[in-house]
Amino acid sequence: MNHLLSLVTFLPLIGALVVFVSPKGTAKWLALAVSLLTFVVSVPLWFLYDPAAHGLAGWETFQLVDGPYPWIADLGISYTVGIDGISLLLVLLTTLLTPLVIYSSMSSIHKKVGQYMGFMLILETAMLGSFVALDTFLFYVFWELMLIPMYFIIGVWGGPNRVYAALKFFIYTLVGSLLMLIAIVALYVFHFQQFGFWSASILDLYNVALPFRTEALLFAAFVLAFAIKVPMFPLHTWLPDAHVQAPTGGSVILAGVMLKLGTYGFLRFAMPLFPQATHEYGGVIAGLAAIGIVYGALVAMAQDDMKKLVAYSSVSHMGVIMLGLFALNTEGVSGSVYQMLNHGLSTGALFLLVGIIYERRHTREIAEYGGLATSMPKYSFVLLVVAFSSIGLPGLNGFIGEALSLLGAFHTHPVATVVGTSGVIFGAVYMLWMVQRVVFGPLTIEANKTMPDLTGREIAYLAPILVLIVVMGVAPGPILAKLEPSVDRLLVQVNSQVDLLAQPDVAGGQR
Amino acid sequence: MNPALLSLVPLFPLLGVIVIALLNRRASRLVAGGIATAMVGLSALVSFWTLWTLVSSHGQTPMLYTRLYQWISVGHLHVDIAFLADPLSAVMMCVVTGVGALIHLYSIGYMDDPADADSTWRFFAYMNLFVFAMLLLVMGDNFLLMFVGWEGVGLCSYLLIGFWYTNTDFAKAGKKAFIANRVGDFSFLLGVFMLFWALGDQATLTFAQLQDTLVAQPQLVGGSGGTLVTAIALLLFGGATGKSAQIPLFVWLPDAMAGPTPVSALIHAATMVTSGIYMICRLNFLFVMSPVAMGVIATIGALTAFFAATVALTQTDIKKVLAYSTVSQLGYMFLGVGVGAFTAGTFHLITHAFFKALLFLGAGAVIHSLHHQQDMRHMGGLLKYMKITGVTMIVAWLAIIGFPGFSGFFSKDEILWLTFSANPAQIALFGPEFPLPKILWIIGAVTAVLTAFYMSRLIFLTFFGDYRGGHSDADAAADGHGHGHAPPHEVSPLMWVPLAALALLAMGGGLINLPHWLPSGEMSGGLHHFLAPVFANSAPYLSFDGADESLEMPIMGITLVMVFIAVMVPWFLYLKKPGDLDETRRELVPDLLYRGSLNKWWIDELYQAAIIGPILVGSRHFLWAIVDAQLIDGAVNGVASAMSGLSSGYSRFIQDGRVQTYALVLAAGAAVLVFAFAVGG
Repeated sequence: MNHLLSLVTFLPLIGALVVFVSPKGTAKWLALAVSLLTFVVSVPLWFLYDPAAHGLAGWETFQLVDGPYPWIADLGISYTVGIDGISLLLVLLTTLLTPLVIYSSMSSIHKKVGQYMGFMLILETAMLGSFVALDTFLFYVFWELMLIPMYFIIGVWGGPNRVYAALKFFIYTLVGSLLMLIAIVALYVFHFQQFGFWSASILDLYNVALPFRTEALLFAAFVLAFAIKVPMFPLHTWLPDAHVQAPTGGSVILAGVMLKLGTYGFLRFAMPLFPQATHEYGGVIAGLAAIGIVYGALVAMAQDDMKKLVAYSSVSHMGVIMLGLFALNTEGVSGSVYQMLNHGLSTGALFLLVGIIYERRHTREIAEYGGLATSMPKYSFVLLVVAFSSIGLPGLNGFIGEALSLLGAFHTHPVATVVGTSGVIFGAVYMLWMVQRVVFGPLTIEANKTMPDLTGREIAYLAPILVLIVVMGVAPGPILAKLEPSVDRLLVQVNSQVDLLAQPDVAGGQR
Repeated sequence: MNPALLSLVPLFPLLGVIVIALLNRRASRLVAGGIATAMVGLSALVSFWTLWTLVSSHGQTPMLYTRLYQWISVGHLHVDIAFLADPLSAVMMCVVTGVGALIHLYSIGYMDDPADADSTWRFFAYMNLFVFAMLLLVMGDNFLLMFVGWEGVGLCSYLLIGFWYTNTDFAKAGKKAFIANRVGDFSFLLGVFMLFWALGDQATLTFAQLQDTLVAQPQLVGGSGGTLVTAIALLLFGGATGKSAQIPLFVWLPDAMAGPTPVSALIHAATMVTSGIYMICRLNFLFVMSPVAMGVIATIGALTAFFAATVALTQTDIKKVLAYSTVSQLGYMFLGVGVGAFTAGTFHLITHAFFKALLFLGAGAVIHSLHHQQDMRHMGGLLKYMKITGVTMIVAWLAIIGFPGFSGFFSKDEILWLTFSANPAQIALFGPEFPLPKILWIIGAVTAVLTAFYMSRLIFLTFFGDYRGGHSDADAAADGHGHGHAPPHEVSPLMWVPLAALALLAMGGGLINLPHWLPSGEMSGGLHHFLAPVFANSAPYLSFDGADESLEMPIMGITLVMVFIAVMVPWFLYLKKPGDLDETRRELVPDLLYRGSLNKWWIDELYQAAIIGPILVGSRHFLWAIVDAQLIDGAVNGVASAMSGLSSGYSRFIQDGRVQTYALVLAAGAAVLVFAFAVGG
């Protein structure tokens, strides 16, 4: 059992090596098998992770820890992985979405299938590794590793303007990453100065106490890296380009999982490492999040391209997640993590749905559709359910995350939350307008009249998402129960240290 | 009754949805409609059993409660899926399922257009889903479960307004309804958030707990008259203006008439649109703490009642008249609850459910019989062809104009009287001395006159005089654009039985709450006594001036005389002297007023020009085209090219297609980076 997490993490990578050298026909099935196996192996994590056994500090806050195995022993860099309630859920989101994406890509990817599938699997390992890494350098390696396969997925299998989009994605993210790297190294050095030994373990680095000004600088570096990934307004412009150019599978993974690494970075690194700065600048971040919610929704409204619309809707939704995070209370942060899962499912499904009609018509222009409810009733039904999940209709998953995030945030940042809550209006506007233009109205365009409805395969990869959309709305209890101790532990760390440091004698005595 | 059985009430219609959805196209109109009607009927049986349990216990059983499971539990927030049936929700359950069952039955007859044969199952699935959601709304024991129903009914409304989705305008009307409601929900959610955090350690979203907390510690929300409680109450009321179509969010309801007529009857007249009134009654103990908010509610209600009535005067589409009439009558209900007459508001909610559902279903029968003709200018004399429909409609007309003895007479009179006698301090929008109650009473009384006018106009134009359609016996032969339709005919029993049942209710509905001045003994104020426990905590905040009681009869008399005159005018205009209507109108009314009423005072156009247009244009041409594409991206691209003179070289490199090489370079770079740490340390 000790190695289960490592097994889950590296299974896709091992599979990728085989997939790369397999012939075209075998590669895709092999990739599917590997990703399904990874999912199956990851399911026991849900049962093995015990929220009741959650400790309040140190190693006890993580479970299923594998390591530490010395990697560069002299430097205190180790291979250590482990999960708490938060990373558990994000790991499961990743292992669930990847096979669905691989399955969906089988009909849309025709060139260099083996390599595409291989990159997908490498990407999965990189994402899983980032979620489970408990060593800062290990995290950084996985974080950077994510960039490469995604860069190729966009750059090779993408649309006409793929090179520009891939490069933009790459440069944006790289700039952030490099700043983060500098901050990590600085923190690592400070740790050595304070404690006399080298360690990159996240748990050791949590103990580093810094004067406010230093903390603020390092916080800024982390925030920049993660805010680009999220992406937060105004660092979001790589996202629409990347999404529009990326193949469907790339978009699903990008929106479904990779963006969550930005928000995950906030709650695993930026916030607990720098509690003072988190409190000091939380208002600014919440403000930007709120602007992002409204801005993303308004710009989504202006789009003629379905994929771009969904991309901007992501900017809006990720704003809700950020607002919930910086609520710094149990309600808000739990809602925020819940919303990460919701966004992964609903936006993932939206990209899959756009991909389905793109495959049939080779256009994503909203104006090219209309009246699909007549020719594709099943498709229209699914689109409607997913749209309402995305809008946050109570009874479906989106509501739980959105309502909790906003409820929590209202306590901490009332003004930002009032602005952000208006997203419930604008979200309905762009989503229902899109739905109306795509599935309702008369069937006027000849090519749409004969569009075949969802195939069995398409239903097969959409069904799990639909089931979760409903179940997570009706019965959020089990997931929230897994989350709460970890969220509380994070909050203790973020909030109590600040209270401690707020006392002048302690703060003054730091250095 | 075992409280656990309460769960059956929403469960039956949910089961109906599932069964019909599983059968989908295999379920014919009769099968799907039969299942749907039976499910709502079963639900109604349990609802009436619940009501009877509460009534017969004479206060020994104050409420029934059942809890299914814990829904959300995080931090201070603990919310269950749990149902509550106190007198208020029991009454609502009976209205929803009782009127609902009748309308379902009617729909089996109404939805017989062969063009819809493949989609009637969808219709009935949505209708059952609606009843399910509406029951969650009235039975939920907490804000969030109520909100599930609140938005759920909005979803069904959206789906049913756009039921004939191939018509783009209908689909747009559905969208408009949902979005207008969302504007209200935005306000509602903020109200809930504010309330939740105001309670501090005792934060709760459960109604019963909230009531206990606020009654014991009113200072938590700033005490009576505090700014905080006013803000909370106004934000929650904002939600009600969306759902219950009040100023400024009423604009969606007239458009919602695009849905099939039974939908208009069930959702947009009898049940969903009354959710806002129900919500305020449910939270009466909170609202009464803010006299300012109460004043706003009463004023908005009165103004909406008046405003919508002025629009109804000139509409020619029979459903549009009824739509504005509904907006107007909902205004009355808000006037009632706003002045603190919660029972009167609820009473009018019930009687309105009877007579307005009947009016819509009757209009539906006419439309069905005339093959989708909705313009009253092409109706007339239909009483001759449709006796049952005509008679039941006349009953509904008498009820809505407040003809003595009919249900609407009692409920409207109670609202007006309690408005007149309300203590100005409890609706202190303009200060505790300002005679707001009297002003609102005048508005309400004038509206009663307008109501009598437009409803009489509707009845006279539709059922009396000569048939002006193209297909009467007389001119069927001369009809140039005839579709070979038979002359108007009475509808099938499936449709007229519900009409007859509702007509009985519209006639006798007043019995549930007879006024004190009738020597009715036990029966007097039945609803009032039954609901008293629900409104007990707000009683100390409210007073109605009993000294004026001697005025009650004279005031009622004046109203009745005015109403009578208001009936005579259209009788004269449309029946006695049925000349050129346009000309008559021009002689009587200034053109601007007429066109204003006809065009709904251009409110839609105003919203389009002042809000919707600027948002759309601003989003596309400013936020997207300038902020996103030029400012932000310009900056990013600028930085990128400044940072790297190599960028052109990069892109050429990649465009060569040698990406694999690039991958190697990158991987090597990463390796070097890792190695660099190792050495550097």
